[in-house]
Amino acid sequence: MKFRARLSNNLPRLLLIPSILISLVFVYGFISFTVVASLSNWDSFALDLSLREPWYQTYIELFANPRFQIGLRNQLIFTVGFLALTTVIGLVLGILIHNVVLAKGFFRTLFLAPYALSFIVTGVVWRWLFNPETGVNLLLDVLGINSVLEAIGVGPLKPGWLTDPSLVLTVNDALGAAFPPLRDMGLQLGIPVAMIPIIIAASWQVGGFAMAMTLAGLGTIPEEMIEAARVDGASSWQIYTKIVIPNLTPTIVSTLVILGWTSLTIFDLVVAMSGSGPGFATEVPGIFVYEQSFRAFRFNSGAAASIVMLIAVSAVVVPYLARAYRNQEEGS
Amino acid sequence: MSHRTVLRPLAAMGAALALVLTGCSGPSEGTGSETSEPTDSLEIFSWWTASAEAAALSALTTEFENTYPGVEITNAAVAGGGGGNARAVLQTRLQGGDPPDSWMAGPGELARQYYDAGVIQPVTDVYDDELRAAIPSAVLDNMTIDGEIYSAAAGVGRGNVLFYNKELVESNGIELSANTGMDDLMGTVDRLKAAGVTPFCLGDATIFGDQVILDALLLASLGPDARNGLFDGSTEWTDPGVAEAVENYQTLLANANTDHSALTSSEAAGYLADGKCAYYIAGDWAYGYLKQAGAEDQVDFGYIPVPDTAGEYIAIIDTFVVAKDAANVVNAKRWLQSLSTVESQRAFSLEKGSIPVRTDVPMDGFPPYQVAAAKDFAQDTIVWGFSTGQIGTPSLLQSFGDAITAVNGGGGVDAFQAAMASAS
Repeated sequence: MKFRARLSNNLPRLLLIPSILISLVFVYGFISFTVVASLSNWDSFALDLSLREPWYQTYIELFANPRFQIGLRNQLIFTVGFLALTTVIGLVLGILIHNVVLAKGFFRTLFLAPYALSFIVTGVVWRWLFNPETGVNLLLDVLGINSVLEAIGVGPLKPGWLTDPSLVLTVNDALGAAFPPLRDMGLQLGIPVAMIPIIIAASWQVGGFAMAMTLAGLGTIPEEMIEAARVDGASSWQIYTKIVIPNLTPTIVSTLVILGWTSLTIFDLVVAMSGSGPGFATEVPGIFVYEQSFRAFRFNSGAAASIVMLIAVSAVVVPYLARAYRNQEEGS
Repeated sequence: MSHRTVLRPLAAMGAALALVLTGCSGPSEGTGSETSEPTDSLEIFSWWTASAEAAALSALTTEFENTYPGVEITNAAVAGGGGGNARAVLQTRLQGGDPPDSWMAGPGELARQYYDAGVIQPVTDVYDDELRAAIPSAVLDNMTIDGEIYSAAAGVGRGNVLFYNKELVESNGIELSANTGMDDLMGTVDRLKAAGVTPFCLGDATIFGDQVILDALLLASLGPDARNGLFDGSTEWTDPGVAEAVENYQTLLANANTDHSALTSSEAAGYLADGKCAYYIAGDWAYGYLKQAGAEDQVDFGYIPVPDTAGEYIAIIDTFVVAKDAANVVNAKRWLQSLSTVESQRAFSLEKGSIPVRTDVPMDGFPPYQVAAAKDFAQDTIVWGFSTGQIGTPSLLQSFGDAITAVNGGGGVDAFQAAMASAS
């Protein structure tokens, strides 16, 4: 009896031990190893964890590396574009399906289906779709858009998509005018054209997930609130902008955090679609880590870049978790 | 409750986990590696998964199984990136103390990094006098580290071939031969463009295709000695010859199919077969891609050494090494012996489209390209391929790829040379 009581008292702790041990070894242990590797001299095939002199040298070289700078820029562009587009797709699809009367389940499954695919499958298919010779550009011809453009003397529209190394909306000159030292910055700040197809492909795949999140959020809004607003004479537009969307805010924040994590660790989709792209137009830190570590065997550099990625992901996830934890504490 | 009650199960769990972890860390000292008893299994590791390559590997394993029935071969292969992906997996296995018995390496730098890390063992005893006599001395030298031979070669590929679409070239009055110079070739670009033909085929969705091309162009502008000097420091990357090679590369880039960065090398070979473009600089593995695309040797396409590289052979040798801690060391050495026989070399190259590394293999029954290539290999100056890592460190090769990617994005010759100079 005494044993049973002790067991049931301690059972929650006992059950936690395996997962604590596993995360100690496989999460925190490996993070620590990566930190040590990033400060080491390990830049060849043979393991060498001796401390580099000075210890932060790998990080200095990392941030001075033009390829890594481009990767960070592209990561920012991708994250902003992907989050914005996916959230909008999720909201629009979610609200449409919530209000559709016919075949609700069918449409929900239809839009959620791409989420079940692997990023590699999505990447290969969209690489073909965005091939400038054989892909979506043929639509421009078939739909007659190009013959109209040619008739008015503009010439055919033939975007290079993934093959276009150029940047649009560069802000270097504007920044340089405001703050002259930035004028000589080597890194061009702007939107790489080749990143756009990747944002589209990623949003196509994950849009269904954002839709499911929206649907779940919509289910929590009390019908009475909307009914009351309608009785008070609110228009549909007012109902959505004043009641539905504000009530969806917690859902949208959760979606943004989960998508933010997906976005910051993106690797497979980009590898399948274009790799680093022409002139690193679609380079992301994930590819940099892979190539530094396993192609060039510069493990210290790869580890340092991973730590930078970890910090970026933590910056998104930790405040969210802290907030969720605090809410839970307050709630209990 | 006391602390004890919590700590005791914790300690037990810790011990259990420690047991699991040590169990995963591979063979301990002395097991397997020291025994000379033959076992009944053999694990070989390669990146040969594509059709012709997989068939060639299976020709080798068939020969082995005929000689040593009862030995079960495990074929661990990882696809993609000219072996880059496989080397990543291999690296993890070696680091984890779980090496395959024998893996594909390549001579020179590729084997040396494994030697430096202490993960391979000498296989000099595989080489008898007959085998030594049959292999060109340049190849043997390249496989030797500190007086011991560390690998055995299955076949040789060539990295400096220019394939051309016969109809497009002939209908535009262009004559190509081994003596065609680089200036002559570049001189035909305008004529082809005027006729509405895309001069160059290119597929560089992975940078490997570009690395092969620029490696050949460097050889063309520098010559073998100065080109090899890039790797021992006797030639600077700021040399005008390097600039000339990069300029030629830029010309090629500006006159290639516009969708090149969305195509793989094999898709680009398909473009040549379909007559969408005229010239294609590649390794001779593209011969297999062209055949797969339905093109006929000397009917639909022809080939010459890359201009200004006649008499020079960028050799890309597929070799196997034996792990120091191989679990099946006897079979691993037998595997190297077996793939070095005349029969294996012939069966392998017939499938793969490469040529035997032994010069005493009868070439009857081989396609005309391989007969010609074998003749060249026996008499040409052998230069080791940089794009496949047979010369130069992996780190330098990565910098080479990065510098080319910058050129692809509109970067200049100076930036290329500066990047390479600071990397070497």
